[in-house]
This record gives sequence, C-alpha cells and structure tokens, in this order.
Amino acid sequence: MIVDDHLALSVLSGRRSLSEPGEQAPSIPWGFHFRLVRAVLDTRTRGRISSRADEQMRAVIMAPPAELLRVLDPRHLTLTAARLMARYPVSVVGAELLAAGIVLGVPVHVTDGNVGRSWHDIALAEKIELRVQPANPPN
Amino acid sequence: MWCMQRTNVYLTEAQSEFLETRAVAAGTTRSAVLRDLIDTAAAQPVTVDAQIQRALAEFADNYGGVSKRLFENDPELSIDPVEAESR
Repeated sequence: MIVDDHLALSVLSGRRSLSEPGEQAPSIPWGFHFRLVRAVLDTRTRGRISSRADEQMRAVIMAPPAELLRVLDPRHLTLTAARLMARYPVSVVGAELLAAGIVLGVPVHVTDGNVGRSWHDIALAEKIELRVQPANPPN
Repeated sequence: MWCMQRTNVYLTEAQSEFLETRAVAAGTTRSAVLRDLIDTAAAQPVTVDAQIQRALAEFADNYGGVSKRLFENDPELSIDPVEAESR
C-alpha cells in the first residue's frame, strides 16, 4: 500500500500497522518523503532538535528501515504522474501519490487532513483505491 | 582528495591514541581510520526503539495538524496546486 507523510509517521512510531502480517511494508512516494524530511529539517516548523531521541528520530525519518517503510523510486512514476497533471488540477506530490496507486495497483492511504481537493474525483476516474484514514485513530 | 572536505576535529588524548594505534596496525593514516569508522557507523541499520517511537509519535501529533498547510505556498510540495489557488 501507499501512504502519505502523516501515515508514514504513524507507521514508524508503531501507532498504526496498516499492512497485514506477511504483506510488504507500506511505501511512501518520494515527494511525500521529501515533505517529511524537509519538515523535520526545518527549524522554523520544528524548533531546535533538542535531544538524542530527536536526533535518532530524524535519522529514522531520513532513512526509514525498509522493513517498516519503503521510499518509492520516483522514476517509475514520472510518466503516469505527468499524465495525471496534464489531465487534472493536481499538485506534483499529489500526482505522484496517485500515480503510485495506478502503477503499483495497490490502495493509496491518506489522512483526512491531507486530502487534495481533486483526489477523490481523480481516484474515481482512474480507478484508484483511495482510502482516507482518520488523523487520530481511535485507541 | 577532490571529493573530500577538510574538517578539524578535537579529540581526547585517548581517542587520538586509539586512532594512532589503529593507523599503525593497518599501515594507513589516522584520517583513513576515522573515515572507515564513520562509514561503518553510517552503514548500520537504524533501529526504532521505544524512545524513538515516542518521539516519532509526538512529532506525528504535531505534524498531523499542520501537514496540509505546511507547504501550501510551495508548488513542489503543496497538497493542492498553488497556481490554482492564486488564479
């Protein structure tokens, strides 16, 4: 399955296990991984990295263990993402995310606060399985 | 050396002796030993222990509330197209 940046964090933190036992680890598109790395590096949004746990957390986000989260190679998605951008009003990271669902033929999971305005329509037209998850899952 | 960056490092006496001993034993330089040690450490798989999981969970809580807005003016990283917003 494909996940957005927020779900990727939930997976890495152990809060959510979206994949079934024996299934491959979730994958995050390169663009959404870039968002996450940029956010964790940006002191304007994050504040100073203050502890050893923070340093290690940053290392995990930058290079996630493959058994927990895989970062997709964008080159396999470029053509499909560009085609989506030519047809629909969708951003670069949105197009790459949805293209991953088409190319890999797997569901795309995103948090409810992270859904682009056109994504549901695109998913319907392109037969992408778009699953919206609550940002804060019930305990 | 064209791809190297010159870096000054302060070492304790013990660390310096350790590097010297390793370098002599391997017939190489202290710098080469230090580079090998860094490469070895960098190649270690990152493990996610409970403390890191807690830090990640806290970061996830903060991130969830701002993720969509975080790069809303950045055409490369925004969730919705930036140009469509300004038309």
